[in-house]
Amino acid sequence: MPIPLTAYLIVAAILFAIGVYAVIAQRSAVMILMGIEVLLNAVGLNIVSFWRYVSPGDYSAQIFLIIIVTIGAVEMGVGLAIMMLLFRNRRTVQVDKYEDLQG
Amino acid sequence: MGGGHECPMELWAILPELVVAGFGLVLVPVAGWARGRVRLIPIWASIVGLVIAMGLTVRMLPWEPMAVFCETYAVDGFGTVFKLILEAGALVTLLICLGYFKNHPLIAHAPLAVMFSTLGCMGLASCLDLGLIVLFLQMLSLASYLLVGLVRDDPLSNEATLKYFIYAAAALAIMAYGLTFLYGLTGSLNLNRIGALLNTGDAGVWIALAMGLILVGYAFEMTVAPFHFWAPDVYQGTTAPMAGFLSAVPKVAAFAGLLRLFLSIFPEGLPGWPTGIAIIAAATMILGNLAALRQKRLKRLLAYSSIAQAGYILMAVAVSAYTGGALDAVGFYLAVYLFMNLGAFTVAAQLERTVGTDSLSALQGVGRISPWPSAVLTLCLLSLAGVPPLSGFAGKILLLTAAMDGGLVWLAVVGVINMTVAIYYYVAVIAQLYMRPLSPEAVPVQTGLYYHVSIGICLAGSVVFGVFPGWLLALTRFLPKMVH
Repeated sequence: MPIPLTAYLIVAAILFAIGVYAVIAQRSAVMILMGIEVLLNAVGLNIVSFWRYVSPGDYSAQIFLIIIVTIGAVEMGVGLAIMMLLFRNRRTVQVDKYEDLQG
Repeated sequence: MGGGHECPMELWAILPELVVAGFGLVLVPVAGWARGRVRLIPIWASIVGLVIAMGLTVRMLPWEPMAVFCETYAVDGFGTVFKLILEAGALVTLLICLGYFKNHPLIAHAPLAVMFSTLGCMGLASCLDLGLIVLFLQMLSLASYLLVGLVRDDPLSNEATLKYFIYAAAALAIMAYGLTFLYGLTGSLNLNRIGALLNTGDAGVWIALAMGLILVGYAFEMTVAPFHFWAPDVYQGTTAPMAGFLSAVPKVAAFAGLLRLFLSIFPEGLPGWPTGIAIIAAATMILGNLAALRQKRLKRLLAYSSIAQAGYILMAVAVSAYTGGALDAVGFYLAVYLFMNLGAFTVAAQLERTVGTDSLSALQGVGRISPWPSAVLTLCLLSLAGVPPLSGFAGKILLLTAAMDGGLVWLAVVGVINMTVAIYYYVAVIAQLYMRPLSPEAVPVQTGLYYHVSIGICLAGSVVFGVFPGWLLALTRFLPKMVH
């Protein structure tokens, strides 16, 4: 029995929900970064399953996926560089320790 | 990204982008090894590059709308006008940097990030493809992370970078998720083809979901409620020129991107859009203005003021598909907003560089010892407040007229009430400058040639277009020329 499109979309939606939860609830900046990666994977799964079921003849959606994967890698690179910088200056990447900017 | 057929390399159509990208890329190694006086090469070269790009962009104004690179990229009046505004904003930012980072090693690195961020902004205003929207938005925010974190050993700047990075990355991912649904509903990544194929009748819920998720990404860059909370913290933590850049250039690009996406997909409008955007607009201006009332720091005050300004602009975005003058109003207001806001941030930069703080108490009585910067700040704040005959007044009239023509009279009333409340906190700053006794530790605000040039441009923008709005409206009448 072929797997329907809905099944893929539900998995992607669950990934998306996990990602949003991680971004909101995690306190460590590295874990938040992981959450963002999960969010991007939800996007990737969504676009590929739409491509397969909606317009399998047109490969442009795969380019979209490559862009998303690249963005994930770039974001990881820049994000970890920022975390390293923060850790060097403050010895912590717990986001709730960063509370000087208020008013 | 159309399937199968040949796509010619229409490089002539993206010459301004190529110039900005070329200058940015060539300057990367230069900024790496530049020492001493050579450190000034990147910033001067970037300024030259932006001026060339502006010249090339002006040349494209009268061109007929066309879609190039397999219909993924638009060359039309809409994109060209916004590209001009964005390039002007980047140019003024670089002039502020010339004064602010004088004798500072960062003067070599700042222009690169400004160039790449501007490139992302220009692309966002012109691209017609869902993939390119994500790509350019990412290019814009990636360079902006670096701009915010430019001063690496400052704890406040670090904190601002962390906040900006997390929110921007999450907003982008959420927006990309929304974009995939537009593809899923139509099987196309092209905005115009999505517009032609999308059946607004039976897919209403999915369209609403997709547009809601997409709005998250744009609302973040536009600093629109409820995704505005990062702006005050980030502006306070980063340097004043970069705060000015963030408050102007990416915001203009996000408005352009949102309008292009909406008007390409729903040229006839979308049921529920005016009401939805109107509610967001009202919430944004109310939250921004109320928070601005109790600010003690100039950059935070300008951040909340820029949030409120985004709310005013949204009034016309809400009716953009229904009223002829709405696009002109948005374009006009964004252009004058850029000038008056960057003018205010120029003075904030001068103040921060001289006194080391941007707290409003440092401004006490400064009007007496630094008449020129104080006068500029006064004029820019009055223009932001919408006092006639300054540009902000003309822009606000256009926005309110557009909202009323579109049938959103209640929103126009909320807007007017907000603008009246806002006058209070703008005038409070001006009173601080002129009415208070000079504090003993006050020093004259540093001036210099480059500040004068940037101030001159911003003042001209904040005053001239108020007296002669027709000059700017002659430019914004190219806006409705879009690829369809």
